[in-house]
Amino acid sequence: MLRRINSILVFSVSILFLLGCSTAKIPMSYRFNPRDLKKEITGCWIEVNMHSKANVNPEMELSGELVAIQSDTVYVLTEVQLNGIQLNKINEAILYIYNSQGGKYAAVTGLLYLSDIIAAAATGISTFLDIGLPWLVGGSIITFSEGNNSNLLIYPKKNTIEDFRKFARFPQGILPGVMKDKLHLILTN
Amino acid sequence: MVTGLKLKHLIVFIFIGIMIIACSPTRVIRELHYPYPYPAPYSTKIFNKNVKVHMKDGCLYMLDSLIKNSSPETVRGYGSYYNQYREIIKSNVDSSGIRIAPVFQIPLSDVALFETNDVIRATGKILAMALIGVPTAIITAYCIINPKACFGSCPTFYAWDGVDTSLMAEGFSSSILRSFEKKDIDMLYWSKVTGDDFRLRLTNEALETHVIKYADLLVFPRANNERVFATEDGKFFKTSDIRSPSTCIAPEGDCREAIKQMDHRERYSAADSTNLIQREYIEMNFDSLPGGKLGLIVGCRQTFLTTYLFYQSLAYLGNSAGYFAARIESGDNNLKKRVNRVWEVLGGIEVFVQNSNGGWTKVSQIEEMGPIATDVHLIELPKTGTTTLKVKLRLTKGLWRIDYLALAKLEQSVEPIKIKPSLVIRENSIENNLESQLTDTLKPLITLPGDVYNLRYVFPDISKNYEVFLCSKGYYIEWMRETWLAEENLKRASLMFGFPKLFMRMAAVDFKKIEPTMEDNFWRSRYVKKN
Repeated sequence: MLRRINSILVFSVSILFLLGCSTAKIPMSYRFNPRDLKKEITGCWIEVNMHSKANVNPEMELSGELVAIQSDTVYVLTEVQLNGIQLNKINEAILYIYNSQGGKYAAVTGLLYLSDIIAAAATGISTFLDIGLPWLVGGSIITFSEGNNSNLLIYPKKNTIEDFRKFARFPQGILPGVMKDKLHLILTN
Repeated sequence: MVTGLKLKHLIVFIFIGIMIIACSPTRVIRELHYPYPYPAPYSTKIFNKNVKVHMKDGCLYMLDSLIKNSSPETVRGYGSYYNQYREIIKSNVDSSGIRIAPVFQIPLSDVALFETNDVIRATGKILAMALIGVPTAIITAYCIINPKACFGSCPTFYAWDGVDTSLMAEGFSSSILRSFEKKDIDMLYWSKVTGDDFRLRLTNEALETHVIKYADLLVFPRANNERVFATEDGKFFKTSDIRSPSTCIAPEGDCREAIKQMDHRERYSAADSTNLIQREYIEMNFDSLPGGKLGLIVGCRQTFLTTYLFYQSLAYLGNSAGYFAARIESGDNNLKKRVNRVWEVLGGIEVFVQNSNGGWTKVSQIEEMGPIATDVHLIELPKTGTTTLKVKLRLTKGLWRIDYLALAKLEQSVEPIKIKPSLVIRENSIENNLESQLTDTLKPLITLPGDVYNLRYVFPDISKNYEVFLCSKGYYIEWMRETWLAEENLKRASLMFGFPKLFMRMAAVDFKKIEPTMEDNFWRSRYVKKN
């Protein structure tokens, strides 16, 4: 039974780790809960990769808030400044619409199943592990269903750059009256 | 069985349905709408819901709801107003949503876009998790608090029924100490023999130590239309012409549907609310009797009333339970009789036959204990000299679940072929030569909670069809639970063992509180092991 408990624990921790590290680089205030998107006042977080396959340069990777997309330029606001990136220089862009809920589902699944593991270990009755099995299977399926990048827009693999526009702070574009150097990330909500 | 299967399929169907709904990922649908022409066809999508209004100068209104104006030049709303740098300028609602300032009047000519966001499928996932998680949590909590109601007791035996590996028998349920050790014969009614290799799965699913001296098979070659049944005194008869009663009347009315087949549809009643040993009667009529010697077939098991009383007795004895157990084991026959007396007042299923004078004659009594597996008993009936037969059962209310009642013509008495296990394998272990522990009574097989053993038997002639019985002998020792010690009450224990009839009246109220859920919780929490 101990071996079985160990396997389940390793499996659960691995899922939590994998789901947790995918959005680790994004500031907390930009990890939107899907239900709160309607109340967010900023654009979504974007990672832009401007590498050419032949010449890998880490400095060409940029991540920040998507401020606007105007004609052939993507405006990304970092902690330092507003950057305008020519569309033809973008190798790949990933936009995080909302924070994947997979981690939460995995955590809830694991925590509830933990009660069965503790009960099995404390009483020596392995049937406790079986009682929680439908929950473990159901919770894992739901967790994995959230982990298929449905919360992301990926250019050019899955989406066009036009799809990104409505997730910008200014979907209508940056108006002339906006002082670009005054724009800043909203790091606390 | 039909009801059981339907319920099982329904649960599987619901589970799959929930999973299909829940498997689709959460989606956010963000839509942008231009303000003109106004009112536009999309207007129903933006009014009366959370809307962000992007202004032409880059400012933003985040509104709890957008209200349509009578004037086409403006729209109204409550919420917050931010400048281009997302600094809050004004808010006309507080954090709890109460309106604290006049409504925003927003000129449509200044609006660049309306933005709406809809989240789909997130609720389905939460609902799915709740539907699976809540019952799991309830069952786990219930089983932690009350493991006996979930995990049963006694060595539990599973065998192949032709479709699945299913629960078939429980061994020596009444053998709660070494001095109560006894042999137990259980019919494996649903077992199917395929080839010469027969397997039993033996489990210890309770907080108990099981001491098993042997677990032999008693097998009988039989024709396809024959069945062999065992009497209470250990005789075996081939039977034929099995028929259901023409009427079967219990206090609640006609119960024929429930008892006409061994199908897990059982006739049972609730215990009396004032006296746990209140008796009830079931009367049956059998018409056009076959000639020859007859027998009554009774398929039954106990409810969890005995389990409750056994647990309660240990709880009342508390820290002294070991002392009293040791006294019984040391030969204190008076104490042993007192324990037996508790089970005696509960009683078995008494079988009466109406004689030619109209009086009732007691024929036999079924006393086998155990709430987990239904066992099948044969009662030899005396000749009455009548063309019809009236049989009456007297039993304690709420103590028995009757699956099957039928009349059979007894053919010849038969002797079993005894088969000992040829191979015993403990799961997740490399122990070997375990079969010697089930063949040498001086070295019994001792199992602990969670142990699972696979027992293999070799049948003599694979061309034959067999009736299979399990003959086991041993005893078990129940483990004291921490939570029970809180209920220690030696006065109550004295009452239980000294005046059991009075105790059964006093215990009725407490038992009735948990009676409705005991059976359901046991089966819902149970996970039948597969081979």
